[in-house]
Amino acid sequence: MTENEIPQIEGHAAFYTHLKSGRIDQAKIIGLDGERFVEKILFGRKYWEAPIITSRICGICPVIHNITSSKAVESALGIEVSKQTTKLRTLMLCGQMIQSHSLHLYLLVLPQLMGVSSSFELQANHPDLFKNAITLKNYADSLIETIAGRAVHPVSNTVGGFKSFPSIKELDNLILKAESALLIAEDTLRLFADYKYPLMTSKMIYSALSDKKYYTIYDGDIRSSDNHVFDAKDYKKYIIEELMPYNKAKYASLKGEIFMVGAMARYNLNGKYLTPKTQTLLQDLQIENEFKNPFYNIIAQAIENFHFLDHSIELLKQLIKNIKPEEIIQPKSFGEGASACEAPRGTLFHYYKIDKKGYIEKADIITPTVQNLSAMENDMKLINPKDFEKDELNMFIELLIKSYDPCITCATH
Amino acid sequence: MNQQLAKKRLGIFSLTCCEGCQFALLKDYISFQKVLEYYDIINFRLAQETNLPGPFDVVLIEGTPESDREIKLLKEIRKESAVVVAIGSCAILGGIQSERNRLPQKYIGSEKVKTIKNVIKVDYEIPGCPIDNTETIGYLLNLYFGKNIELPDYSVCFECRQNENNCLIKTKKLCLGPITRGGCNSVCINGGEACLGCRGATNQANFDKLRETLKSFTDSEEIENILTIYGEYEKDSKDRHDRK
Repeated sequence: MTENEIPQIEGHAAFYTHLKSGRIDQAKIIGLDGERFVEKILFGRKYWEAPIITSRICGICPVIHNITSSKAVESALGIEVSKQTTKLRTLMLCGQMIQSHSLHLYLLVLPQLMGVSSSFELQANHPDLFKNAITLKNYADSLIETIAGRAVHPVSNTVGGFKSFPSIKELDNLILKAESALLIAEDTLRLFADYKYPLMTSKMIYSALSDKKYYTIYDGDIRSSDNHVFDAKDYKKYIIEELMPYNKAKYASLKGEIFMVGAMARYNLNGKYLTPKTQTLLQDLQIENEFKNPFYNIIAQAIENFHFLDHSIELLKQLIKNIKPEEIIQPKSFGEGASACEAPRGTLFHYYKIDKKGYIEKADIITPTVQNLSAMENDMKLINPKDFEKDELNMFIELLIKSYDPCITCATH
Repeated sequence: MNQQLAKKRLGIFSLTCCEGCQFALLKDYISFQKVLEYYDIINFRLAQETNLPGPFDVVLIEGTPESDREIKLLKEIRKESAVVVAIGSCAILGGIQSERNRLPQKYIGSEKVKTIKNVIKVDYEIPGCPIDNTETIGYLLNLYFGKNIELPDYSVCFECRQNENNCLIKTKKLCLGPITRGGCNSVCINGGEACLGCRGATNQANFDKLRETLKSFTDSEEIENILTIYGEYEKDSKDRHDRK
């Protein structure tokens, strides 16, 4: 029986494994972050505060909480936002994906793959690779800053629309930056596709937003590889949360089944809707169109990095033609509403019930990591400890957990 | 860099929070480079595999202590560090989670939120939700050379005017700019949002006067709500006055 704190992940967690007759018979992930009771503290607050407060759930993915929260409040208040708002938000989400994925790939995963102890050491020994990380992250940061006012904890997006708008010149600058960043994203995919990852096959159910038209992250139904299709408003019937005695974060199942969300789930379910440029690159690199090895979530993130960069250029080019200031749409009615968006780590659900004066009565948030915890524990049990020395085993489990890119801060909220 | 300067030992710790201040600090790796010229980072769990328990010349801590484990860690950090700096709204004001201090105990079923200075002595504070990386890196260099951290004591309005934003209060919108400590370059108002007070109050903040102004166009429940988004804003200001 061993307990090990995991460095270089978002939030604080330890993993614990129990060996019995040479097999791992128990695997647990223990969240060490304190609870902040975010759903409860929203009680009695005005509806417009929800996106501001919930973006503080997570410092690495504040944008997705900000947007999913806005969308859920809008559905509770009968607000339909403009096409321009949808485009601006999708751009913010592209930025969020690139920001989170490139940080995870280069600064949290790559040091371990290359056997160096930190991103600072990577910076000293492999300045070229480090520069790639910076180029990608800088593009993502300036994309979010330009559209939403600030990279960590955005300020411009609110319930009903946007409070400020980028200028044509700012959008133009972004396109310039994007075009050089796209080349780096291609190198990044080549780099991460080339690594020899540990072999592991996990029989897993995948779930993600899909609309059978696009590689959607902002709207659509939730579809799973075992053929569930549901609307965000019915999330409670499908995503079942339960508390484990050893973890402050809840564990979610898809109607009782262990499942996986995130880059690899999206890739497996919606891969054929990636941008044409992404598809060509995938053929070029002979990357298979379905992944079964959980370590390949890392490759899926590198694929998405390229896709969302490419997609952001397309959206920027559309916006530059006709962006204009718009009024924020006011509430039409008060009631309850839910929404789902794709966060870097998988589907995120927000739900609100709002009283007639506009104050929040009830809130519920289900984060991607909560949906992935059981899958992570499931895959830990697939490891045969006999294949490893003790230190090696821990490193291996660490890498497996990192592949899932868990966010314990989000999960515990 | 002057090679004769010995590096000091820096620790960056995170308690319960969103970790946004750590990410803000790493936002621009090129300027973070400056920190590495003056400090050896010997504990930074988010960014490195090997982390030592001390001793430290300077420690930055974000978040609020929630568990016994975190309180114990705080006390250990204090013993090991010459200078302790609380960073961000959680560490200083209690953060969004301290809203639960206003709700009935029964409803939450958990203890009240403490800030770091409720548990250990804090030498300096760097405010913001999240902190501004350029400002923070500047302060770290100050500390390296043995200087104090002196926070600006003008209000957000000062910078907001320089940025030529339209005044929100004049158009009857809630804004805490007049009583909130500047230094953020009015980033929220530039982006269309109001100032919601994440940096805490200026030393001369007049809460009654602002309440009176805001009451002419909004109800008091909403005013009290915005005064508590990032924590116990007014209490922190009162405590500072009492200490003087």
